[in-house]
Formats: sequence, C-alpha cells, structure tokens
Amino acid sequence: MSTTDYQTPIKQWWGLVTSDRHPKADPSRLVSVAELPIYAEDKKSQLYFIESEPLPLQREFSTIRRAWQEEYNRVAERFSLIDHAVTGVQNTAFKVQRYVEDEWSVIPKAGAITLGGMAGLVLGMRRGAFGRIFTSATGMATMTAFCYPKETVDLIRGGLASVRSEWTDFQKSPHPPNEKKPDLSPPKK
Amino acid sequence: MAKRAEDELGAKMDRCFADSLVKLVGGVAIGIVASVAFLKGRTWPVWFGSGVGIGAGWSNCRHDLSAPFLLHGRKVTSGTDAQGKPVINIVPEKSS
Repeated sequence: MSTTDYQTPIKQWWGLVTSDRHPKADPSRLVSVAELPIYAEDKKSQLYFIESEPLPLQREFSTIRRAWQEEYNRVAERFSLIDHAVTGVQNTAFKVQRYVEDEWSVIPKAGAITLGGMAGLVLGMRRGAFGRIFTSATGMATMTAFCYPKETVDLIRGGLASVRSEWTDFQKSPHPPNEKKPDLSPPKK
Repeated sequence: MAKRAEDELGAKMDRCFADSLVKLVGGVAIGIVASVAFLKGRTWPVWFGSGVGIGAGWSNCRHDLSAPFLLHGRKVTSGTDAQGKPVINIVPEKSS
C-alpha cells in the first residue's frame, strides 16, 4: 500500500472540514436584525383592563353593610357611650396589631412562655392545686427569664438594691425615744 | 368622581365576606361529600373543610387589604373580547 492511497481520503476529509461552505455575503441583500422575519410579527398590541364582575353575594353583602352602617350611626348618635366604647376597643386593637407587627418576636416569645407554663402544669399534675399553680408559674417565669434576659437582670438587680437599702435603713434606724407614758391609772387615795 | 376611602374599604370588605362565604360553603360541601363517601359519616372532614374555607377566605382578604391599589380584573389585548377571543365584525352581504 503506497502512501498516496491513504493520504487522498484524508485530504478530501480535511478539505471538506475546512472549506468555507457558507455562501458569500451579497451586500445588496443585507438586512438589519429588526428586519428579520421573526420580529416582523411582533406588533405592538394595545392592552386594556377589564374589571371583573362582583362576586356572587357581594351586592347583597354591600346592602347589608350599608343598612348596618346607617343603623349604627343612628344608635351612636343616640347613645354616645356605645360609640366611645367601640372606638376605644378599635384603637386598642390597632395599637396591639401595630405592636405585634413592629415587634415580630412577641408571638414566638408568648408561645415559648405558654409552652413553659404548660410544661410546668404537666410536671405538677400529681400535686395538688397549689402545686400545679406553683410549677406552672415557675415554668412560665423560667421561660420569661429566657425570653427577656435584660429585663430579668434589671428586675433582679432592682430587687436586690431595694432589699439592700431596706436592710441598711433597718440597721440605721434609731431607737425609739423613751417617752413617758401618761399615767392613766386611777388616782390613789 | 373619586370614591371615599370608607366606600373603597367597604367594597373590599364586601368582597372579603362574599369570597369567604363561597369558600366556606365549598369547604363544607367537600367535607360532607368526603365524609359520606369515604369516611363512614364522621364529622371531622366537615370541620376540616370549613376551616380550610375560612382560612382561604381570610388569606385572600389579607392580601386584598394589604394592597391598596389592587384591581380585580384582567388585561385584554385590543381586538379581542373579555374572553380573549378575537372580535369579528360580521358584515351582512349586500344583496346585488
């Protein structure tokens, strides 16, 4: 087998691989990207909004609400005490809601404290009523101390300082003066 | 004319109640069917369904109230009707 026998197909393969098979660009037929047919169908469609129909029973609820509002206004004008009470409850509810939203850790802490109380209650089930109250209060206090450590430390320090000052006051307290008691005995004859 | 804030809130609350009621009734209905068909008439599926219904209504209501400019509806391209079908004008053929 001569060297030219196997060189010919390799040359052919190399010629096929490296040949420029793309047609030469014709400058007269060049188009921009925006003119390509894939973009030609993208028409700028105008959107408009259609509001959905009210839900079933929504109109009935609206009627009931308006009637209730009118009646409430009538009663509130007559009895201002009720209106004050309702407004107060509403304001308190809004305040609580805002506090819970701002202080996001309140709910988990409340849950942990409740859990501590329930654990104490379970542990004190075999004791009497006082024992149950004591163990559940201890559990709640322990969890509260974990949830609010700074406040707990402040409370303990304040309590200790108060006890110390009371003890000092007690130690420094002066002896009561020996006042002569008035003689209330009947006169001797 | 712009709506009053009370009316806007009232309309939202109406939608909330109507939506919650529909979901509650749906949940109870599914619960009853499930109870009768599969669970020998036990009552817990009814309670479960009603709870799911109330929860779904509550969640929708929360989303509605937390988005002040939320509109319920759909966008439709011009040339189509509310169901998205193309609008076709049928022109009667002129009799020659």
